Amino acid sequence: MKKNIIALAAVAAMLSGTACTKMLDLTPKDSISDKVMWAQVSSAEYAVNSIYSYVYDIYAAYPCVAGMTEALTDQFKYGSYLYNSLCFIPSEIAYGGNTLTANYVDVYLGAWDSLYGAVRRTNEAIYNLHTLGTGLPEADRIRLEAELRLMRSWLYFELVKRYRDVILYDEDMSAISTDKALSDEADVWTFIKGDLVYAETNLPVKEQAKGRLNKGVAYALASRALLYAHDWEGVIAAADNVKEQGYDLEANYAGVFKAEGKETILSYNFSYADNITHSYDFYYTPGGDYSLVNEQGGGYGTPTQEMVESYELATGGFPDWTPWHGTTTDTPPYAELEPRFQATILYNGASWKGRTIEPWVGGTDGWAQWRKETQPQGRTTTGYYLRKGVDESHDLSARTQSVQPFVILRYGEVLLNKAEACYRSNDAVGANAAVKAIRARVGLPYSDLSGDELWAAIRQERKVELAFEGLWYWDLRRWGDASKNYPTGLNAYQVHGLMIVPAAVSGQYEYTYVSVDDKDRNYPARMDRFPMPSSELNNNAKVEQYAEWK
Amino acid sequence: MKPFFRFLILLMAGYVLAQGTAFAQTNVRGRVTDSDGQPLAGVTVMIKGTTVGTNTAADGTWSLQVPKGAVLEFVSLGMTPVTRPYQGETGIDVIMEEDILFLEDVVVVGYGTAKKETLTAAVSAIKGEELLKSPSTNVSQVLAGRLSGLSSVQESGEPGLDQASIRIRGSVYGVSYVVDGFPVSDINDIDPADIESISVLKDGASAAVYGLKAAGGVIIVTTKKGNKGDVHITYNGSVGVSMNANFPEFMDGPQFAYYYNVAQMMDQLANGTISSTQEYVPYFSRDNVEAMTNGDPTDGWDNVNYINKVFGTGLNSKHNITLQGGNDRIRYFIGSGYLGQKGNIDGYNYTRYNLRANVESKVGRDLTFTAGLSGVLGDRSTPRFASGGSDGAGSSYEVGYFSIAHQTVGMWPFLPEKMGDYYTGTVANNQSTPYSPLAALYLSGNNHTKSLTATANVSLAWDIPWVKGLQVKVSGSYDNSNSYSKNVATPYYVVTHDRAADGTWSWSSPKVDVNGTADGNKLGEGVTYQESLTGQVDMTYAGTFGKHGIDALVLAEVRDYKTNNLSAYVKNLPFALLPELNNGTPTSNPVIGSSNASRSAGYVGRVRYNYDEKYLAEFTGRLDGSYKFAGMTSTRWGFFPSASIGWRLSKEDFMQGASFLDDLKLRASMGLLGSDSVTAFMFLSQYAQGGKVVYPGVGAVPSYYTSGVPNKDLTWEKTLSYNLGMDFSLWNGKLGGEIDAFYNYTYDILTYNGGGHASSMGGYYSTYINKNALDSKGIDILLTHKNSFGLGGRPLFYEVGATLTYSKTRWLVYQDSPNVPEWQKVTGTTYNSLWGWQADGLYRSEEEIDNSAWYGTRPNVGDIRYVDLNGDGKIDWNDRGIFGKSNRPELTFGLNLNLGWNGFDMNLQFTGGALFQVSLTGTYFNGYDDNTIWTQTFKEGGNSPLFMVENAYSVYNPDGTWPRLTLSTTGHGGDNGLSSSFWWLDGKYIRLKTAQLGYTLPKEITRKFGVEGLRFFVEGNNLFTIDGLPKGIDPESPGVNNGYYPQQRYLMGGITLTL
Repeated sequence: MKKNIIALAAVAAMLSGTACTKMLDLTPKDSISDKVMWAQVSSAEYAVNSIYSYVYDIYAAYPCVAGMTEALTDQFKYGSYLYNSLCFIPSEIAYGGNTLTANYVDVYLGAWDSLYGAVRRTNEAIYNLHTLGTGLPEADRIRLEAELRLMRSWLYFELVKRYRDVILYDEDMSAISTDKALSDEADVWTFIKGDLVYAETNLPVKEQAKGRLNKGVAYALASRALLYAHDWEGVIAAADNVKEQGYDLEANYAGVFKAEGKETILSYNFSYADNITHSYDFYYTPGGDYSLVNEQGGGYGTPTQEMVESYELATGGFPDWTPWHGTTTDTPPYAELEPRFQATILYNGASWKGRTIEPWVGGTDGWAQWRKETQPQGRTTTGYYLRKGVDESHDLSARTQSVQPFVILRYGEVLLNKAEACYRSNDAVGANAAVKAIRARVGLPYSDLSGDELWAAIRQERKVELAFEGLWYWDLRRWGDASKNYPTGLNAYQVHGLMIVPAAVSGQYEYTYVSVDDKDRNYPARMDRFPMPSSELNNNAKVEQYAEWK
Repeated sequence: MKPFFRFLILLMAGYVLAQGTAFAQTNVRGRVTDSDGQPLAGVTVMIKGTTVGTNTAADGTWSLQVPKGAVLEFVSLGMTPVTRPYQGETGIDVIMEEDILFLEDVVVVGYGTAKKETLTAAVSAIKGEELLKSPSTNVSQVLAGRLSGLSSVQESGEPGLDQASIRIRGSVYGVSYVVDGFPVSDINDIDPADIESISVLKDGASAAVYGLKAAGGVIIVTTKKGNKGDVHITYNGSVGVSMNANFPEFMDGPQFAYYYNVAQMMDQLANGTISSTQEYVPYFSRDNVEAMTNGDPTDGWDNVNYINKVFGTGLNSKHNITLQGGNDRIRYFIGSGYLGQKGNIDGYNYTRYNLRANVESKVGRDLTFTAGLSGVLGDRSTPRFASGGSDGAGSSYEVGYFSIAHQTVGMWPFLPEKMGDYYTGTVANNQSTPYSPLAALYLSGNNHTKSLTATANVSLAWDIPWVKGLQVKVSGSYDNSNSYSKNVATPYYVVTHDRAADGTWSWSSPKVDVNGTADGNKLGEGVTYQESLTGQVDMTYAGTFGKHGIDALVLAEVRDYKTNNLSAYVKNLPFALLPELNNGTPTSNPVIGSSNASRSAGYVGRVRYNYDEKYLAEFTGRLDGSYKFAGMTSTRWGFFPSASIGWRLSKEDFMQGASFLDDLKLRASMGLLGSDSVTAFMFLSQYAQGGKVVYPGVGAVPSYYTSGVPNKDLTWEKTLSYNLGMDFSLWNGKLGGEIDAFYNYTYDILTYNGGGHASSMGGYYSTYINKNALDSKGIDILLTHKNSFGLGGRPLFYEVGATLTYSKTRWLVYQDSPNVPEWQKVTGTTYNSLWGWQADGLYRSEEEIDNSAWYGTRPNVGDIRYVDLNGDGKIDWNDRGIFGKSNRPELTFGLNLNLGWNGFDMNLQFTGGALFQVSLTGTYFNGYDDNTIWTQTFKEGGNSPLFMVENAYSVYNPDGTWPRLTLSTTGHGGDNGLSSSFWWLDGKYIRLKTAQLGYTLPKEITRKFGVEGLRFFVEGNNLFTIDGLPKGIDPESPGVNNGYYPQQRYLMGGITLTL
């Protein structure tokens, strides 16, 4: 027995010791330690790049998961009756009424969860920059903080725009807790402005920014955001600062969306080589582009007759559309409409990719009747297709995905932001000058206006100049107009299209005005603020649902 | 092997009895009793060297004409055979002794073996030959119903992927597998012919020696090592066919046209497009239907059963040859096997080759060396599409939505197979590309995966000469698994039959499929490389000191695991027939690669003690460490102890009067088990690579994001396991049983820490915490009865085994959100219960709708009525709750019947389940549910099962029990298919899982040809099922949206030849 015990002890001694615990120290193969991340400028920039990607989400993902917000207004119509996003659901939202429950609105328009996720990661990055990035050169540390704080101000702007009173978190990560009260809208604005000022002060100018966020972006964002805060002085100052950075209107309106120029303040870019692409062309190219290569795609949403009628003649003033509100073989005055129409909307006979658009029954692009044909499959339900933002040089037979940049901020918008702020602060001169500049670029006449006429002119320019840039729905909302009856608001109206059928005489078409709605649209006033999601209400004892949603 | 040989002897004896005899004889009578004087029935009595014999009656008596000088042989299962020369006496009484070896079964347990008699833990075991009694293609399939404590669900019938998912005692954890002492990831590829035995460690006392890997129980497979004696070569081969075991009937062309018209009419009535049935303009005209049935497909219409076109008959074959033998110095076993499966869907094939060699040799006086080598070569090919599928495209271009099963059931039955040169396709709603199962099978390309797993185990044991019973052993295992896949996707075109608004139908120009044309022929190739190394050093001691028996083990074990994978993708191959990476251009993401590693270490100790083999006790413990948790803290190393005791009542003096009792033992145990099945490194603060971002004028740059909020306190999950058991054997083994009751308490369950936090926190809380708890309780029962009696003058041997396993697992603590309604709280519910609305039948009138709450827009008569639980006048997500049962049976049972008579043998295995529900709604992995082909008529515009439309509510069938016929594009109709109790069907079933019938030729005949044994057999599985589900729905079917490869029925025939 004694020998047993000795032998046992020997083996036990052999096996024990700390070597085993050391042996179990492995490191992950798919991630890197936070200390390594913030030790050098190059890798710290990698961490900030992931925050920069929220620019894409703010533009493309957060506004409405069912489709472009223009489809919630009189501008745009998704043609499929299938119960899907980019199909029937945008129309269902526009029909409003009892469908718009808190849960429903949160699902399709809410962005609380995603925005707070982004806010947290931005704050975490600022925190890590402060605590782990102490070894970075000071200039880089400040520049990176300015980039991060610009993103944070943007995220909070997106929150306050939707919810007004929201929860405030800064980079103090220890403050994050499940029970947290809302802050007043005013405090949120103070916070946003603090970040904007820091960014404006510390970001480099565009030429030195190597494609990264710069001063111009900060000023341009301020000119947009401060409109929502009714900080007219701030908007005007920001707009003037943008101009000082050297931005100006391009001579050619259509060119703004085709190449980066002096008007582009911020665009979000893509790359085939790196497989970073988007599907804008797949959704909005005329369906004929796809049927010509034996595939299906395009034409998910198309501009409405209402949008077409929003454009003036190239010489100024509106044509009389009465003949086309019935049935006629007369050709609509498309050719005489102003350049922004030509740049934005494809119509029967328009030139596109070396061919002629055929949005008529049986045409290459084709026409489908709303609701009667559940799936248009590339055919238009309105008689039009979208041109603005769609890449005419895109060869669909080679690839489906697209890489044309999204134009996020441009000088044209900044000018109109300034016009609005001037009008609100009784500076008609400033407002008229801005409107005039916008119209002069497309050769439209303008004589100075005042009062309601001036406001109507500013509103008109925002609608057509900034069409399909994701702003109109939010403009109507912030003006308090959305719940009013059409045409001021989004209530009690239907949108229309033209059904085009080849006439007996060759080259002639018969145009029939048709509704592309099942019923009148409705925008309840409570939609001016979106509801808080149940994931917040259920877990945060210090908040209650906003009054209008109780 | 012993019972098997004995069984063979009995069979032979039976045959012998059939032969006549011609010598002068005397009528001899006698009686057979056991050592306690109890009569033994069914004992075979025969005259040695002849074919004459009989069986004892119930009172043990027998009579037979016996020539003088003959030798009588007495044979009975479980008894030592007796031979007695006949010298002219008139009566011969025989006392037969229990076959000690037979009762003293040795069972394999963790890191060693134990005598079944003195085992104190809950272990189920099965002998390898049981596994050969079914046409199974892998080991996991055959365990169902044969072992108590085990539940098995086989969800797929796809060749190469048809393994059953196994759970021990309702555990939420997967089972750990050990083969010949070393951990492996699964046991499916082991050739059943190589297996000596399988043990299932069910309780804490048996499994705690596996520490962190043991929470889900352990299955130990021991392969054959060879027996001392002559060399035996056995060939076993079978061939046969396979087909769907169960599949619903779908509409044919005219039925489709009829029900589609009714559905569209119902929709139009509902949305006000028409106001009476008279106004309806049929979608399919009478002419269309006539064209379907006129037998002429060239008119564009036909009547094709695409279900039968796709699901045909598969061909299967299995062959294996084993060789074994040995002497005092060396024992060896060599097995080689082949499995070929040509699935019942064209293009789904699987081939497997197995080779195994085990050698055990005494290399010195005290040294024993063992070596085991095994290799498995697998070769699986499929068309470019998965048979069934999950959502999201996998790495091999597979899109679950376009699974073959999904495309098949969606296909319009009125389409001819081909129009011109093209296969036809069905335009599915929501999809830009059409369904076309035949094109998908034959034109889409193919996926091919080859795998090779090679394992080597070696050990060297030294019996320390100066201490009797003390042994030191060093052993190691190296396992190397490689797989190589090559997937070619080729674009193809199909034509669709489209209906214009005016009712005319026309054929489209050829349309492109989901493979797309833009990228041409695509090729993906990938390799994975895995190796694992396990090393063990142990020391064992066994000794007896008077009536005290002691046996002890200490062991140290280290495991190291590495994996690497690399894949590459190209497109635009000029020829699909030359699928080489060199010939294409790289895709946008041409190369993907990653690697992983894990490591663990453990120390095991065990002491067993018995007093006179009457009072038994065992203590085990394992100290286990895992790389997944923070180092140098108490969270890395854990201790898992267990204790168990046993009392053999049958050994007590006061039980000696109960002579019918062979053995009776009571057992009790408790033990602690662990599970580290959580993402590693959660204690670190890390950044992971995100998608690149593109800066204007600069290009794409990398981005990194914080991958999780660290939790340094994270530790493993624990299960405290209690077991009470009883083993008994009565009347010389005629009735045997093992009955166990258990309670498992699992706590510190790693919980995704998402619930219970405000979303404004932006996810800033540690992602996993040790919080949840659940418990399982239940019973396992195994009852066996074996006996033999005379039938037609020949002995009939039979054996019946019944298993019953009941376990219920429920959440004790769950991270519920505090403000959700009571009925949504998981705490207190059964694990994996189905969730959805409570359905209250169908709406039968508009008044009912007026007086009800509803979901979304106003429903129609014939839609499902949901219960407004919170009474707020509307149906929404707050009215959903956990009301269903799990889809895994709480109660599973098996009935195993063996018969042997006159050279014939038969095995029937019934299995069944109860206390579970089959959900016809599909539920995604993330909990979102969706309509399925079983819940929505004309889902995506495609075909539907006949039972659904026939029983659906419609204006012509107002008493229909299924929701109304609809084309269900928007609004209601869609909502019917969401998860609700309407679709949760009681799944209880019983099925003849396997059956085998064999006939062994008499040795007298076969030996003339130098053959030791020759047996013919036929076998089958999934032969019939009795359940209450709609016709064709399999009770083991998974709740999925995109279809699955149906469970298969195999019918095979074969021979076993022993030399």
